[in-house]
Amino acid sequence: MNQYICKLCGYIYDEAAGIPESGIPVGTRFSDLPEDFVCPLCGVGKDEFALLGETTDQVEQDLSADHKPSLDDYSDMQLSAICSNLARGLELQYKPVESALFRDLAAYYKDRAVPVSEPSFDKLMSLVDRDLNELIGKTNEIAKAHEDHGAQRALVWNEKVTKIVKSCLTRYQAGGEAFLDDKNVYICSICGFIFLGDKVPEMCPICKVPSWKFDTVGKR
Amino acid sequence: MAKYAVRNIRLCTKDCLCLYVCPTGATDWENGQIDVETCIGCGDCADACPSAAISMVPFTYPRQQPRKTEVVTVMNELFQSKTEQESIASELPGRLGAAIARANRLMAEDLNREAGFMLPQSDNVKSLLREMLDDPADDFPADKVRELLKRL
Repeated sequence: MNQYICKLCGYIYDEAAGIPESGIPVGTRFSDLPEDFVCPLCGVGKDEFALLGETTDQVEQDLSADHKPSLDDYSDMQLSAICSNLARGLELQYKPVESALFRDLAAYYKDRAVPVSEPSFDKLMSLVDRDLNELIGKTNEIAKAHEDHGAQRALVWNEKVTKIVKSCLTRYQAGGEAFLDDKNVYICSICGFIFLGDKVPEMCPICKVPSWKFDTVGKR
Repeated sequence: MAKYAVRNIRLCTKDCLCLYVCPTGATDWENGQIDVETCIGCGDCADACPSAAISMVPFTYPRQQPRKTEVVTVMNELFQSKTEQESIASELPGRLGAAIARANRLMAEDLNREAGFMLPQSDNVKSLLREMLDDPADDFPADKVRELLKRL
C-alpha cells in the first residue's frame, strides 16, 4: 500500500485508508481511483499527484523540513498548555468528546507539574521584564527572518498582553489589594487581555473579539 | 471534499430556515445539534441561515502548515516563560493573580499553537500522544491517550 501526495496542496491519499466517507473503500489503489478523481481538498486532478517519497517538489520538501517536536522538549506545565490548546481547537471543530479528553490530560499535567520554588511578585515581574526586553524581540526577529507570519501575529498579541500584565502588576505594587476594590476583573478568553473596570469592554482592543468573549474573574 | 454541517448554538437566532431547507431532517434533532450521520453535506442549511450560525466543516482537515525548527526553538523559550509565569501567578492571592495566571495560559496556548500544535489531527500531535504512552507514572491516564489516538 502506498501514499500519494497532492503536489498543489499537500493532501495525502493513503491507499490503506481509502476515503470511505466519499465512497472510496479502504485499500483502494491510487491507480484504481476513477479518472475523474480530484483532490478532496483543492480539486486538482489525478495527474497532479505524486507517489510519496519519489518527488522532489516544494510540498514534499516542506513536509520533510517541518519541525518534529519531541515530548522531552516540554515541561509538564507546557504539556498542560499544549493539551488545553488542542482541547480548544477540538471544541471549535465541534468535537466535544475529543476536547474533553485533552482537557483531562491538561488537568493531569498541571496537577503534577513541579511548583515554582518561592513564587513571588518580584520573580513574576522579572520574568515579565525579560519577555518584554529580550525574548519577544529576539523571537520576532527570527520569525521575521523565516517569514513565519503566524508566529509574528502571535507575538504581536503576546507583547501587548504582556504589557497589560506589567501595568496591572505595577498598579498592584503601588496600591496593594485596595486598588482592585471598586473594580471588576475581566479577561478576554481569546488573547488574555485583562481589563479592570466597571463594565466589560465592547470589543477586545487587542484581538478585536466582541464583549461576550470576555469572562469575569471572581467576585469583588 | 466531504463535509458536514455544524451549528453554533451561541450564534443561532432560531429563525429555523435550516429546518425548511434540509432534505434529510438532519437539522431538526433533539439535542439541538445537526446529526452528522443524517447530514449529507449539501450545505443548503448553511446557505439559508440568516445568522451565519451554521458552518460546513470537512471530515479530513488539510495538512498543518510546516514550521521551521529555528522559529519553534525560540517560540518554545517564550512559551516556557509564560508557563512559568502562570505557575507563579496561580500561587499569588486574589483575583489579579487568577487573571494573570489565565492570561499567561492563553498566551502559552497561542504560542504552542503557532509552534507546531495548530491542528489536533496533525502528525505532530499524534506522535506526541504516542510518546506519552511510555509515561512511567502509575496514575498516567494512558486510556485517554489511546482513545484520542483512535479518534483523531
